[in-house]
Amino acid sequence: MLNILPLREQLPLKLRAIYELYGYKKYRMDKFEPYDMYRENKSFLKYDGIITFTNPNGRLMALKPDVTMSIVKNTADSAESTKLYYNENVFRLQHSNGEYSEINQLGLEFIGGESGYSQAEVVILALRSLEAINNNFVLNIAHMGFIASLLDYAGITNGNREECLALIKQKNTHGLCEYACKYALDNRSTEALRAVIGISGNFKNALEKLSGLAVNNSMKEAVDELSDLLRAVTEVGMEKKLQLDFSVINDPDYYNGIVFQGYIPKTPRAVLSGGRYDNLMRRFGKAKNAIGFALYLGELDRALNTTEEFDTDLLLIYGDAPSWQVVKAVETLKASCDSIRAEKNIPVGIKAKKTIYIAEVI
Amino acid sequence: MLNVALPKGRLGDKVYSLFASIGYECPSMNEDNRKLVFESTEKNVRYLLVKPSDVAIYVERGAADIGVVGKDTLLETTPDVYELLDLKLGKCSLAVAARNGWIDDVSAPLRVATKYPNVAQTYFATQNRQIEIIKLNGSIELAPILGLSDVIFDIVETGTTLRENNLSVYTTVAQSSARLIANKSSYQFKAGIIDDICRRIEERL
Repeated sequence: MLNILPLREQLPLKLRAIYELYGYKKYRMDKFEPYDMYRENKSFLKYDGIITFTNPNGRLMALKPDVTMSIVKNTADSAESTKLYYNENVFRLQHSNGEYSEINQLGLEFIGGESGYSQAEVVILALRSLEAINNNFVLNIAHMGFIASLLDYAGITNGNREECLALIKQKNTHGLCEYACKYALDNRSTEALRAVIGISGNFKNALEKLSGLAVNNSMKEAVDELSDLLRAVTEVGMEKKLQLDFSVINDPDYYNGIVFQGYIPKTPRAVLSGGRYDNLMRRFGKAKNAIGFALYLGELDRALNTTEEFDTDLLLIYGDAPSWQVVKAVETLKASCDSIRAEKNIPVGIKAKKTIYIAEVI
Repeated sequence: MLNVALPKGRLGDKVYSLFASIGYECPSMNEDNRKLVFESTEKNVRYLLVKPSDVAIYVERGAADIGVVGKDTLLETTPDVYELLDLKLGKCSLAVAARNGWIDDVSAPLRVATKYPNVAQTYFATQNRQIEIIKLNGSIELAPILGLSDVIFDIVETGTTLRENNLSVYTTVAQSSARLIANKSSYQFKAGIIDDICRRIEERL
């Protein structure tokens, strides 16, 4: 039965099966939330606005723009770890055209896990999720701890960090040189930042280069964490799909540790995005650590949809035949084709692989 | 096949010569016709000629893998793309200009005529100046002459147009030149050829 579903519809089922296999439980989200929570954490949802409305009690409510924040808010700060996955539609107001949009997010969160294994598991599940979409994919990984430490080392103060992170995200080395002049960075730091931007491709080689740039303990810890991750991913034989690439770094107010983004060919944006977000947990007053990712299935619509050449396999034209004869004809013919469409006259704009008249079959 | 979006016009011609000189030539580009797509199967590259302000959109949405666009447009539209190289072509600056001898009346909001409403907004916000944006699409220089605006916020190349219209630069805000940009997803799968182009161009510059 699964086979008749287009890949776009099969995918959520395939992914659920993967996540359930690893012990994740489905999380069902309420669609409405008091707006206050988002006002305080607006920058977590950097690009888009939130759709708001007033409820009958005069309270300002939001249509949920994101799942992770709801999960973070609703998890108890108990000792056990929580593994959840979700498949929800979230709502945003797009600044670019002022339109409301509904976005399908499918993802998972591992909250409260011990850090080493939890990130290996989540990264492997991210790899498996991408694999379920297309065999040709890459997962780019970076480490926020390394970058934060490098910026400290370069003496870049809080006010100027965002500008520097934006340049790294763009792989903008010429812009970085201008930046270094503007803020009078020393040569060693400038070279290190340039080298970080230049790192890409094969994870193992890139990690060696990164290791050469680690000048203090927190940078070395970050490199160790990444090489542990590589070792773990090698166990499932998917290490070739990992790339070290610092253009995937995210907002340091929420993310720390590893962050990653997944790409498949023919989709212009990343289809998977995630990372360790202990800092977001702290903002909600939770002591636990957390890591997770989300897939943006809407991005895949074009890549996955194979447009069918025909609207129907068989077109049956029944003219003035009585309905019992049409039913009988459909019953006999349906075994011989994938789809059958009965019409009184030849319909306009319907493409059928084969057209037959009822007189030919009775 | 690598899709390259080039801005139609003088800058695009210069950029194509640069690409041709580093071994990515496409003979059909030299034919005098109105075609917009030129393909070289031998070099595995396809050039698309698009309106300069649309290059970033083609690249951001993946219709082109890489493209060449002015920094001024990047500042205005902030597309989510990689900015890999400064080609140092088409240099100009983004500046505030006004009529010769103009005196700023700080007691009133400043009326700014511009093609770059976002960059202007951001710049004047850093100056704590209240402004009124008048979005125009061309002949910006006309606005202060007719009293439509107090100042203009536009690109200045040689300054000849300003001079001939009795205008002069008041403040220079940013420098611009042509940049090589790449789609983030395309880069993951075509890094080999894109890096090769970057490396060869860098050697040229």
